[in-house]
Amino acid sequence: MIWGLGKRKYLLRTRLTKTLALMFFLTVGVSSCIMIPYEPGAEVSSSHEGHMPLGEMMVTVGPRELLEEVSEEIVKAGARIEIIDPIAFRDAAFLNGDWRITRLLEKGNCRRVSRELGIEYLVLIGEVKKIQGDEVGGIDIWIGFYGAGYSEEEIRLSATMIDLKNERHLFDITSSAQGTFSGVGLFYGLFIVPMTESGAIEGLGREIAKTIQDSSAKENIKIAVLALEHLDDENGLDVSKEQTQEVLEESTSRDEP
Amino acid sequence: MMLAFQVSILVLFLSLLSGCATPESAIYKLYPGPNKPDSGIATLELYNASSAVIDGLRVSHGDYAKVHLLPGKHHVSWTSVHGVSVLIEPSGFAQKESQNLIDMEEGHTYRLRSDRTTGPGYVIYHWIEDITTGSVIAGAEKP
Repeated sequence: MIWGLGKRKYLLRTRLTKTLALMFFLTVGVSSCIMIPYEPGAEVSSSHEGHMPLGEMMVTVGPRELLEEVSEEIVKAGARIEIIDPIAFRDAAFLNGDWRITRLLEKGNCRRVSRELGIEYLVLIGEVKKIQGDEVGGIDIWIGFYGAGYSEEEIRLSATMIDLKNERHLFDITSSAQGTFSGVGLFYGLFIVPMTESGAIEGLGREIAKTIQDSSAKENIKIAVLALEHLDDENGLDVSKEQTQEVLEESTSRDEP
Repeated sequence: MMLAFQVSILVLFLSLLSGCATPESAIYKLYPGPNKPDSGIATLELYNASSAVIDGLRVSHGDYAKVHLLPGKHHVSWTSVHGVSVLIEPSGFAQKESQNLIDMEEGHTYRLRSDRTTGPGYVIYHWIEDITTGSVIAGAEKP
């Protein structure tokens, strides 16, 4: 007696359970989808008119993968560019663990870090912004895929560049890519998946590399790539390039008699 | 509407895959100055947490598996994501967020743990384990 059942009932139940389990796994196994990825191109704009909100933002190495991907694209597009370890930069620039951008921009700090590490530019990557576009139709999943539809999205990524040696804001660059996720399903599913973020990253890296190489004639240009992060979204202040420059200028005037 | 739901499922699936690929060597050094030996710092393993905010800074498990911190009190806000049957949660997943103030000791390793019961009325448990001493220092372990 097992589970209070007779032997025959137990065998029947076991066989039924096995059959149901086999059917379930076969159904799930056979039901599948094909995903076709594509990388949409990015629209890139750069300007001296800073629009990156700096304020009380922190300079971090938090989004490791994003920083690695952007760095990879910069090096791919800029043969003369060398990227240093972002943690080495952070530790040299922020001696007491106060990682606010305003600390970095204090008079003489950028120049000191540039001298110590032999680097010229700092690239600060902003947060990835996703803008959801139109959605049409829909697809249901229930032991297979059923329906058809598409949805649009835009990924926007910005970076601000600081000339460390001359302690000045250089450029703001914004890269945006638009992609359409579309799919159709009748048990099997076929999805066209946009690699929108990769497109935006590729565009940003390419433009950063071009800007840096245009700005320096050096054979080997050392840069650091870090991220900007809000410590507290609600208390984040919007500070434009003018305000960033103000911080640099105020620091300069404080030190000059 | 449904497409957005499916997209989110695919994104979640891809995120989980990328989360699985986080190298164990990816350590977020969250203290200033030169590297310190393990005996002089505290280690926080994200373990079951998908993401955390430590002293105001975000850490994703997709980026880092561990965080090195100076000993002392730290604010940790963390989230775990669990796959749930669509018969119980239409979205197919559930998440829980916890906030803790942890007094971390040097040389100790802390682990963010999460588990859940199954079926209707499921409960998600969050607790923090000091794996150096084997004790639970915050939250309630799943019975």
